[in-house]
Amino acid sequence: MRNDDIITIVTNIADGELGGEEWEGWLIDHPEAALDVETMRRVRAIVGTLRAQESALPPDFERRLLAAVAADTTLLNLIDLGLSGIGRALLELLAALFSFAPATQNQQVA
Amino acid sequence: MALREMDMATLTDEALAKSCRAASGGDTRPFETLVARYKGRVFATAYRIMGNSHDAEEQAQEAFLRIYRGLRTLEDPTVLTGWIYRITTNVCLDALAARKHRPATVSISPVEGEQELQIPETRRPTPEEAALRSEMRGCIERTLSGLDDSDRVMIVLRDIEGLAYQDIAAALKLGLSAAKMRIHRARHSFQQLIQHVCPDVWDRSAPQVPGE
Repeated sequence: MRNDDIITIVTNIADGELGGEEWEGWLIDHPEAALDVETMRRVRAIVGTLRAQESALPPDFERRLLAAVAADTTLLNLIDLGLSGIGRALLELLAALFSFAPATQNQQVA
Repeated sequence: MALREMDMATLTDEALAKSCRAASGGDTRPFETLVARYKGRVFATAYRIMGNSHDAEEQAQEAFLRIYRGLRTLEDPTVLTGWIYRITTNVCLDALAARKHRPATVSISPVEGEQELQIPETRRPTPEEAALRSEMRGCIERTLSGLDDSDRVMIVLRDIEGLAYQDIAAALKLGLSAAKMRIHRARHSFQQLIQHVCPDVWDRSAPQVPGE
């Protein structure tokens, strides 16, 4: 069995995704893996105590967040309007240039 | 027909994501519902990765801005949770990389406007219990702060936030097997560090042998 496979099995047993007599027996046959599972479980148990703790959001967190989103939306809309304005101006400029071009040519010919 | 706020709160994540995408004309209610649903998890994740409340708020805000901008182009709304965690994690890792130094050690007691994490209580702990919990929390947070960013992220997502490996793999763009390898490595790093930072906490976690 490859080392990667053993690590995957150890992780699955420690996380409770594998269990039962079959895997208990496997651990008895693989004492090093059993030790590894115990270490994983202890880390999970220690760190898991933080899971039960709710993080206290800073006061007014949601209001400040939604205000920032609103400001961002306004900015994006302005940029969008600005870009479409620039686009329109460019199109008008091109239209104007092309409308002049034939006339200039005719004048040169004349 | 527009959904009422109460109806929106009962939407599944997938339906909520679709509702956010479909929202138009400045209707921010679907997004506000999403914020209400995820603010705790996004802030807590940012807090654990960044190590303090101020930076956590800054990065949580940045994460929600990216979520807001990205919702319209989110191709698969069924992966909303993993996608939100991916954005939050990446925003925090980018901030840490920019900061170029380790996050400050999280103190046990709040300092200068710092919010302390609260433990929901069903009964009032005795002073001894409170002291023990506080000591343990401080130890765990100091140990987390001392880990490499990539190890800390794995521990936070799997062992604190309780994400499924599929969600972690999606969040970090890893294969399932790689995610399991990473958590295995991260837990070993945590074990080695906590044995130095607070050996008592590690020793107390040993399984009780019957008859001892």
